[in-house]
Amino acid sequence: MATLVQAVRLALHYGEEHLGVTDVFGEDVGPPLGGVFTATQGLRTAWNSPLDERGIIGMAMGIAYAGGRPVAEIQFCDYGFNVIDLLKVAGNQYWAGAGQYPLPMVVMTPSGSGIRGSLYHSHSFESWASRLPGWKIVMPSNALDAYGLMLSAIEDPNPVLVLLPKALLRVRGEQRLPGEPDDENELKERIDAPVGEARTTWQPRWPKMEPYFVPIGKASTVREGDACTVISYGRTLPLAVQAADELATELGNRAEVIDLRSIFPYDWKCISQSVSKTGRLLIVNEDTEVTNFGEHLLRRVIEHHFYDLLVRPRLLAGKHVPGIGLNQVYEQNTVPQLRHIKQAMSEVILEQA
Amino acid sequence: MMTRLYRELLKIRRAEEEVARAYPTDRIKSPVHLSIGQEAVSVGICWALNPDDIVYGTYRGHALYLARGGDLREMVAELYGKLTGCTRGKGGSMHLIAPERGVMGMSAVVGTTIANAVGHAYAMKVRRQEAIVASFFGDGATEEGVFAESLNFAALKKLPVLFVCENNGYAIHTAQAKRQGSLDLCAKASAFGVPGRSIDGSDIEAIISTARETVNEVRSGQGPRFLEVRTYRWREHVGPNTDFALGYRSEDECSSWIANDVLPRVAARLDQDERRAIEAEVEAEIADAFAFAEASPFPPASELVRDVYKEEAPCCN
Ligand SMILES: Cc1ncc(C[n+]2csc(CCOP(=O)(O)OP(=O)(O)O)c2C)c(N)n1
Ligand SMILES: [Mg+2]
Repeated sequence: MATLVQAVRLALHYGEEHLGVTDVFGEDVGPPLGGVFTATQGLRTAWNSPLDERGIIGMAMGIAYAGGRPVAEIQFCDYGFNVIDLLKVAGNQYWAGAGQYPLPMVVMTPSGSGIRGSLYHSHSFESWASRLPGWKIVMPSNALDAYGLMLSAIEDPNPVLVLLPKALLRVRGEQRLPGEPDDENELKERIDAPVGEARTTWQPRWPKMEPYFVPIGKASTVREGDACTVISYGRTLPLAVQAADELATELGNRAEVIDLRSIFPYDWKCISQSVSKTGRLLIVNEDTEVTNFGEHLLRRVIEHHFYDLLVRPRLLAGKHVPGIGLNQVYEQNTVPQLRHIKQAMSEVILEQA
Repeated sequence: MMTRLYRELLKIRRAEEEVARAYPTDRIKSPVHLSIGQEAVSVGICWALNPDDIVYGTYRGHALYLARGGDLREMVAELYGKLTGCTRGKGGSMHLIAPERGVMGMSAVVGTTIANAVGHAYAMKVRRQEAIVASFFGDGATEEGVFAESLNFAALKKLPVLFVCENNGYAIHTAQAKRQGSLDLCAKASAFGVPGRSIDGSDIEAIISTARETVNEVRSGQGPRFLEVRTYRWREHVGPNTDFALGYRSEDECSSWIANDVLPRVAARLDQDERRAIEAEVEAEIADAFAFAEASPFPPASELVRDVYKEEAPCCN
């Protein structure tokens, strides 16, 4: 099965061939590197920008205005802080231009902890991004969703931010992407650039990919249950699933785990139905807790479902510290780990109503 | 002079080689951007600085930190993520600081420290202090808007700041010629009103003499100056290995720089005994620093919330 990063690359290839993508660009995005995580290796329209984030986002806007379909990369979301001004402007333009400036652009960026990157390769970005009206924001937690969300992002007529969970980029999917060869070695051989001399003349042999769209704004219920509702996305999603599975065995209580997938617009219907059923809610992400996008969800759940809730709803998030320190003691005490998630989940499940 | 020069260059080279050697054991927890091949830039420029001058650098900062006399034990411990590291295992290799040596910090975020250096120089000028600020950055950093913004202000206020661009020809895997319409960095600086000079980074004496001359100009109030030092990174962008298999540069290109390595040429000017004595001293110092790092404790979990604010109590209790 394709890894998450291979899925992104295959989606961009599909986008170039069928959805009108004109430019995939950013720092080291073009040959020979194809992105520091290889998300853009071998793509026909990929090119290297100067080392300049504001230039990247500003140019993506210009390319989109000129009728192109750009997919721009910010190498790590930590450098999105350098360009928050232009991200703000991009979100404003359609509204501020009274609908005369459609801005069909995609920005993708690796987000979150998990590669021991220390301070500036570990931040999360979704809470910042959620404060940019005009943008859609998605964050896949597996290869198939990455493929499907990327195609939807490319087709979308608005600016869309695709946050890629760094810790999961090399994780293989459990489901085949439509068009992906059965044999993962064959896939690798076809689309991963070789090292050595061979790289200079290498051309990918793309499999014939098929369309698959994950609608933006649609969550996925990955475990059904009635013991509590767990909402997560990105790196913490598979951990939440694992915690739910372990607790199902240990306690006999099944949590319902929702992969939100879209941060904005988010799937309120899915959340609302699940909370109505379980009366118990845990939200898990790793962004810093003050203020956290999960707090918005909490607020909405409380306003709409106050009388359905059996116990206090909770948010498990990253600590309010300036960054993720190098040492693992810092990282593992800053962002939720499996044991923290399991602990919080069992508390929400077992608390007396 | 040659004795001290050799010791400084060798210490950086050997410390980084040891970092590279230890790396596969995973005891070093930090990503490392090695300066192997670029040591002469930091050593040569810092040669011309006074002890109370200030420097700002980048994530590729081991050489600058050590050239300014930063503590080797604290640096290696920092790479190990240990409590005894210069930032208590928080920042790792990319964020070395040694304020007592005027090393005000390095940053993983390309370009940020250039503006900090300018602000520092402004404050010093206003207070009529004698010291100057040297701002080190890569060729890639000149593409960030903050480079232009910083030079503009430094020229406007005639600030005592020396901009030092370590031009190793690449930003990660993209060559300068594929990123910049004009490769003439000095011309760009001079367009802002900051006179520039370009130096061959394999010529340590040229670096030192040009740095001295330029530092004198800055110190005597003539305003900011720009130095481009042409150099070359021998190892991969980040990590301990070589990377010629990736196809973005050739081994031949690197070989010509290795053939011009500063170290053996400086070594050749010492007498044998002196040279051996320095080598033994440096090896002992490095062994000591690694042993110190090995023996040091990891930070306890309570360290996480220390130093978030100046006062001890968290603010919302
Ligand atoms: C603002 C920002 N953008 C992107 C990066 C990712 N990045 C790290 S190093 C680097 C290349 C820097 O090149 P250069 O300034 O020439 O320094 P060198 O690494 O060659 O010493 C890039 C793009 C970053 N760290 N910070
Ligand atoms: Mg460079």
